[in-house]
Amino acid sequence: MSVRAITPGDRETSGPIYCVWEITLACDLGCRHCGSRAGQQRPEELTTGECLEVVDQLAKVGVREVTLIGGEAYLREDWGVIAAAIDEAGMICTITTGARNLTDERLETAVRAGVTAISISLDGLGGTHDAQRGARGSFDAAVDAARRIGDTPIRLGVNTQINRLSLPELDGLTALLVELGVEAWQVQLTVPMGRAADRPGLLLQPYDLLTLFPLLVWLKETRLDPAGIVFHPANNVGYFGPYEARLRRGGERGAYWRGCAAGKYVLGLEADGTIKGCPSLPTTAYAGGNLRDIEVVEALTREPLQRMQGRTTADLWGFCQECYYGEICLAGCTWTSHAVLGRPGNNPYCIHRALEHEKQGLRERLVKTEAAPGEPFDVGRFEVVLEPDEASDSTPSLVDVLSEGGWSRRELARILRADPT
Amino acid sequence: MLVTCPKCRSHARPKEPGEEVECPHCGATFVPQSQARKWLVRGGVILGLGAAAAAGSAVVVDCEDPQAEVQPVYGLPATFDPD
Repeated sequence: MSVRAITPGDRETSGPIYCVWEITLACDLGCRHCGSRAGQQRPEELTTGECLEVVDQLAKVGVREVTLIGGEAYLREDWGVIAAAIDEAGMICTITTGARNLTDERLETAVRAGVTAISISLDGLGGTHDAQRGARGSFDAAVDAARRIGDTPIRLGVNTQINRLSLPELDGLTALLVELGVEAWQVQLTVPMGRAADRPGLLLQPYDLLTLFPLLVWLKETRLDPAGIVFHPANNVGYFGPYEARLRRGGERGAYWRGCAAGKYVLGLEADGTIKGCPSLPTTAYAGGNLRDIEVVEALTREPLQRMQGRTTADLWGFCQECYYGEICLAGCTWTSHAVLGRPGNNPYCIHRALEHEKQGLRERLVKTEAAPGEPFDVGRFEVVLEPDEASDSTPSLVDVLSEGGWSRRELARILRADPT
Repeated sequence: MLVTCPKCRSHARPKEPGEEVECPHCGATFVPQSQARKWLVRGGVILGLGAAAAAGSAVVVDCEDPQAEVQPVYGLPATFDPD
C-alpha cells in the first residue's frame, strides 16, 4: 500500500501524513513560473538543530512521507543530514529538484541518507524547458541527472508544468520519459502565483481544458500505460466529468477526487519555519505560525489549519456553490482558486465546469486585473469573463498552439474526436 | 459516495444506495451496484447492458473503491509504494 493512501484511521484523526518542506529558498534556477520566486535564501532559515527538531515533531504527529524542496534543497549544506534524520525517524524521504547541479557527489549523499525517490522537473524539451527554467543548459543537466539516478537505487519520477509553452511538447516529453525509465509522471497546471502571476500569457485559459483533457487521456493511454509509467494528475488537474475515472490514479477501481487535502492530510513548511496546510498556499493568508514559536501538533489545532480540516460547502461561492459535485469536490485545489480569484471556494480551472458551460455555448476566460506585489508566494487578481464560446480574443487557440508546436491538425482532430464526451 | 456512469464514465451521485441515478453529464440512467456484487453479476450485467441500451437506459455497475491517496503537491515525486 502506498504511504500516501488515506486509511480509515487517517479519516478519523485527519492528521497529516504527508509533508512538503522547503528547506531553503536558495536556488540555482530562475524559473519563470516559480510561485516562491526562489533564488536567494530566506533571511532567517532554520538552523540544522531546529530542522532536526522539526523532523521529530513531524514523526510524532504521524507524518509518513516528507518531500524536500527549495528553492533547491541540495543547496543547503546540511540537506543530507536532514534527509537522513527523516529516514531514521521512520518516514519516507523524497526530493523534488530542477537537478541543474545534482552532481554525483550529491546523488551519493541522497543514497546514503536513504532518499527513496527523486522527481525531476521537466517543462518541455531543450530550449522550451530552458526558457521556463531561466537557465540555458538546464534541460541537458536535468536529463543527465535523470540518467544517473537510474544507476542508483533511488526511484525516478518527473513532474511537468502544463502551460502554453510546454503543452506542444508533451508528446515528445513522454517519449523521453519512456527512454529514461521514469516510473511516474505528474503534470500540473501552471498557476498564477509568484513569477507566473507576472506572465498571464503563459497560462491556459479555463476553456483550454476542453482540449487538454482529451490530450492527457491520449498521452496516458497510448504512451504511458503501455510503458508502465504511472500518471499523476496533480491537485489542480480535475475535476470529474468523463475524464476523472480515466486520469485519476486508481480511477479504474473507483477512486476519485475527494477535495483539497491541505491542512488535513498535508502540511507545507517554509524554510524560516512558517507552517501552512500546503507548500503552495499564499503565505500571508495561510501561515499557521512559526515552528520557532509553536510545535507542529499545536499548529494543527489553531487557525487557519484547523479551519482547513473542517471545510464544508459553506465555503463555496460562484459556480462551485451550485455545482453537482460541490459537496465532494469543495472547489478543487485551494491554491489554484485562491491564486486566481483571491479566495478559495470557486475554481474556474475545472473540466466539469468547462463542459457545463460548453453545453450552453459559453466559456470562461480569465483577465488579469491586479498585479502581484513581487514577494514569495504572492498572487495578483483575475476576473472571470463568461462569454460566448465563439468570442474572439487575442489569445491563440490551443489547437493553433499545438499545431505550431509540431502536432498535425489531423492527429489532433482524431484525438479530440475520440473524446468520450 | 459517487458511482461511475457505464456510458461515459462520468461520476454520478445516487441519493440512496441501490437507487437509480441519472448521469449529470450524458443523461444515462442506471442502477449502481456494489463493487463486490459487480463481479458476481458481471456476466449478467453485460447481457443487461445490451437490453438496457436498446431501452434507452442502462442497468449498471461500478461503485467506488474507498481507497484514496494524498496526491503529491507542488510537482512532487509520484507516489511510490514502499518496499
